[in-house]
Amino acid sequence: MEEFLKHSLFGLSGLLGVVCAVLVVTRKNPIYSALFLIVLLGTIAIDFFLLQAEFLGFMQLLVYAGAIMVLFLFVIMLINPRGDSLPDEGGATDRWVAFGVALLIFSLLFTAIAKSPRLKEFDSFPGMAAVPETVMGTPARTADHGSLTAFGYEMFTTHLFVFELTSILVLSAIVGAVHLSLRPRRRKREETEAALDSSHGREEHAHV
Amino acid sequence: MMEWFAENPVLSGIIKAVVLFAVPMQIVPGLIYFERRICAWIQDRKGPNRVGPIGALQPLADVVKLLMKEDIAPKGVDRAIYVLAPALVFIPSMLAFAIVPVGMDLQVFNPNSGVIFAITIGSFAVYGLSFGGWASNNKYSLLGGLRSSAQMISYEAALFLALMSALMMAGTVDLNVVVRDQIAHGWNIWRQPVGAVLFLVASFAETNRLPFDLAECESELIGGYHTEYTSMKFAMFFLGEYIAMITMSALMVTLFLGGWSMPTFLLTIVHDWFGVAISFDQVTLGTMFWSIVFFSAKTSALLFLFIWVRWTLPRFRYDQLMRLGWKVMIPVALANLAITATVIVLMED
Amino acid sequence: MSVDLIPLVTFGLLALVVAVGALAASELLGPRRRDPEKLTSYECGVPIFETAREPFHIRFYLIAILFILFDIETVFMVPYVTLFRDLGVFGLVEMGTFVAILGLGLLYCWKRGALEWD
Repeated sequence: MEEFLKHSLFGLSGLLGVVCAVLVVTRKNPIYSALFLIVLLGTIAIDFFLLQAEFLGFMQLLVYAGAIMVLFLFVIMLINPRGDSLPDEGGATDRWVAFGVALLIFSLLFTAIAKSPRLKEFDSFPGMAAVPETVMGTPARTADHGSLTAFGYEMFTTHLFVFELTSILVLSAIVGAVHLSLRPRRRKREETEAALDSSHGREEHAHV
Repeated sequence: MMEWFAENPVLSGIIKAVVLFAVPMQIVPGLIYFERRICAWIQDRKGPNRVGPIGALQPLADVVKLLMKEDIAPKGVDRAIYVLAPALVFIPSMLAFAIVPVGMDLQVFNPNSGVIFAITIGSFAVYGLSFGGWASNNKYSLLGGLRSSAQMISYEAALFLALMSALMMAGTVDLNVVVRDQIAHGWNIWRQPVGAVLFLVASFAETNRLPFDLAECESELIGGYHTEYTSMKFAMFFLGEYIAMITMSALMVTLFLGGWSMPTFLLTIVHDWFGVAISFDQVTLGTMFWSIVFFSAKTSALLFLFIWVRWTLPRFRYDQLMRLGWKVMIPVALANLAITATVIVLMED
Repeated sequence: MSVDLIPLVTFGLLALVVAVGALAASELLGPRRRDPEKLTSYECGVPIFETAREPFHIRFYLIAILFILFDIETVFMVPYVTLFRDLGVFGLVEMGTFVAILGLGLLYCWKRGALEWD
């Protein structure tokens, strides 16, 4: 019963994910694309849950579906495309090229998965395997916390360097975003203030 | 009776879910009524007192009125997202409540990741506001939706960090263990006063309540993201807000105010007056009952605080709100966490 | 596993039913008296000018990206909170470095005025 439920959930979430992925690229209104992308990321989280990687599933939801999609949404609303201001869709040639590239990536992924030696380790189809008892010699699940502790322990010891690198990656993203978005604004404001000061002879007012 | 529950996991699970769903849903109308009575009392007015005895049936009348109102969707709204948005505010706030242990080990769902479930699901409410604001095709709505989404995500960061300080005391994400740790070592509000204050302030901002109700701001934004909503769709935003208020209060109680536990002197009073001996070592019917009573009392007190603050403090300005969030709350929360971790690690070393 | 999920699934279904039910009820029960004036967007009674979906300020974008920074920080802090007693001073230095680097991000935004809202 439980196996059957898990298999059907995997199938359903996979199907929903594929449908959403197609909708993301076919919707003309980018807000809808964002909406379906949120659902798509949610279905990926379901796959994590089915693999008993509960914490990774929540991370997927919190960081991708929760935070990064808010950023996407803000960017879409920031540009606020209207029907008339959207760029024209590419012609037939563009579509065929896009289709070809998609097919190429799909076949690459498919071959990579099908040829993977890991595939033989699964007793049923991929995504449905039970979590092994031990991972690299350490118990994969401890009695009290389950996967959260095991995950954290791996991250803070074995993958220490990558963990620290993440912070630098995020830092560079922030610096880039601030640098790109703030420079023009500041200059513009100074110009406006200069113009105001000269035309009205006002004193420079204090900014709090 | 406890044995029956243990023997029938499926049926008792369904009963538990239905009861724990119905209770916050039933509290909301009562809460709205009390809010109006309390605000009238604070402002030296009478408040609703016509429908039923002392106006107690007013919420019922309001629900009927809202149901019978015309449902107007103005021209130019994005129909699908416009309808979806109110549900997106309500459902995440409600689901986050599932993690709260309202009595001894009594909660709808207790995943290994514990309270992470609540903050993950709860963070989805931001989509309801931003989608609602965008879909309405109204300037006030868009501004209100944006403001409130930016406000929510800003204070969510502070909320998470404050939450971590409470979790750090017990070294777990399981809320029942957090409560047991507080039984053993005292409430977290004494051990983590800074974290408790940060959590409380952030939860006011998260629920869009005064002094942080910049999203609605009637005088400037005519109600913000729900300007163009009528009838039950409008009510759904409010339902979401009040449910979020209940969830936040319940989380605050669990994390900082001892959850379903009580100090020993109160246990003695219960023992002397009612002849019930309560020990939090094992789940019995009596302990379960009293733990629910304790939890409800503490949550009600916090809900009263929410209402009291709303009718006492003026609204922040948006720049003040952002400054408080990013330049005060987050640095303080980070420093608090750093000090907590260092002290605990060095003391136990 | 599935037994533990039954209450949550019930809970979720109830929330869904209430949401859909309330939205459907208001569509079905209310009167329908449409007229063109009623269907215009509300703008304090004056005729609508321009479109509502105008571009807005880039600050909101910066707030969203700062939020991602702290979201990631929190997410990594969750396993740390459960493990920091075991990891001891080593973990303290490790997490301290991580938070300090991200703290630089906040400091940079602060100094560049990304948090100013005037």
